[in-house]
Amino acid sequence: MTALLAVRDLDVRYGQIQALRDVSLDVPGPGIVAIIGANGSGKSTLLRAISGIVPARAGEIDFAGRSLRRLPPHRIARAGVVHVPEGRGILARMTVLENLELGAFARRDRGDLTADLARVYAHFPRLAERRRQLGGSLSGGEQQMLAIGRALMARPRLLMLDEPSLGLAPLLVREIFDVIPRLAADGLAVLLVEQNARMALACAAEGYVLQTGRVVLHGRAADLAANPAVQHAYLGAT
Amino acid sequence: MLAQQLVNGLQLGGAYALVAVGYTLIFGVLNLLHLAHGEVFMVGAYVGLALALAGAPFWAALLGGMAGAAVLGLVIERVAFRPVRDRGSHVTPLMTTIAVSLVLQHAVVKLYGAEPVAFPQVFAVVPVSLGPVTVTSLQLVILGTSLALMALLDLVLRRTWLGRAIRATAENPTVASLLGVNVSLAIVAVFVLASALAGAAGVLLAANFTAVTPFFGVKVGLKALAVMLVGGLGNVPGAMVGGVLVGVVEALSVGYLASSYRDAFAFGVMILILLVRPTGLFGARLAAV
Repeated sequence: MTALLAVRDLDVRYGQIQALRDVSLDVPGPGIVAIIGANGSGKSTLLRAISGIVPARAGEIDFAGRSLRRLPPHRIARAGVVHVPEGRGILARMTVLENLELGAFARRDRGDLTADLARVYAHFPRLAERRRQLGGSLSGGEQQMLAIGRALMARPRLLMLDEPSLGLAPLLVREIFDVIPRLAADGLAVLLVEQNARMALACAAEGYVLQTGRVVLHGRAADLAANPAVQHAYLGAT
Repeated sequence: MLAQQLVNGLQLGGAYALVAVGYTLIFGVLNLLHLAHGEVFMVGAYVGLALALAGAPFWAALLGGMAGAAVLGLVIERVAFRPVRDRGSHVTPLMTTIAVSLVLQHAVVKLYGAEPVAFPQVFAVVPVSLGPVTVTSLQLVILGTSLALMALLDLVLRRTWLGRAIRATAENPTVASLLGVNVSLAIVAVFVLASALAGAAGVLLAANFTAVTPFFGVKVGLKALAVMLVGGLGNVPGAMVGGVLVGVVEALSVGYLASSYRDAFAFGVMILILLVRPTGLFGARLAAV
């Protein structure tokens, strides 16, 4: 069995600080793989290393049979790995529509975007209403929708989401977490980093627990959610 | 008289705006000042001059000046920016570009001498009467070319994939790269566009002033920097408006006050505007298009 994304023994350092050590992880194919862990456990760094924004010191990152390590970020995006960064990365001085159009930049066939835009608007009707507004004028929830919608415009094979629930009101979190499983059901592979471990494990098939830059647990999401240690540390059980 | 000076100012300001737009584009994507941009303008003028002296028609001299300046811009990006980008302080590229500007001035002195070289009259300059205003065919060509090039730039930035990539890079290079934009290539494209516009301005102003010197770029470069500040750092439409404003002030001071103080008036207006609006007329919305 070859996984769509296979990360092997990944090491990342920021100066003297070892951010990731010997991290191995598989995204087998369509479906959601969740990464949970405390602040500073290396979750975001893992996504940043996969998308090429931070260099890996050692290890391998293979995607669809091809090595991504040492590729620049734009080549990784063009290979079909699209990363929605923490903080969403909305281009505030461009309109919603322009942000969405830029999402298709990574594609070779970016001629007619009508169908892709319609699909994004079907997931997030609010973006259609706001398409002439500047990205910076959107609320946090709308920006998250825009960030995910923009990523979908690239027609990714692997979507990496970093903390999509961060800073959002509970109602909006639910809205976002309604859409993510639908995308996975449509055949998209999703690598989901979340502090909200309960929501993440509820929709994921598999999960990894990161602690100070290492994978300390890995298993089916349901098993992790039932694990007393995970419950105690990440699900707020007493 | 007033209308006449306004036309003169528009024509001058259009050329300043072409240079200033380049400054602001480069500042927009790199957050760095390109202090040899005035010399790119000057070299563009000399390339146009060389072609005109060889008997080329004006449009060919103009295109040649743009092409020569664009190639020079590519080289400068490679030599003076890329090696020090993201490393060292903001002062390093200031020094490397000052060095480049000195090298270019002295290279042109070696080739053409330090004395002014007359720009040949490339086409018959005929007066055209537009109501109360008399403009020359040369003025119309200069104004028309400046406006057309700025409209073209605006179109590229708004409507093309290249323009979207440049604007995304200006706003957030990391996000741009995650969207599939080759940021290094976008920066190179900015240098090519900015330099070609400066080269065009060089040929246009050389034809206007009828002579060029190797130090032709110094004052225009400084004025274009002022124009960029007046328009708001990194703001492309701001630089266009700012250029026209500074040109008109200069022409009015030549027409009504004293022509030897033209630069003092141009910079005086810049200081006044910046005193009232320190971020420029249109604020510091970087690369807002």
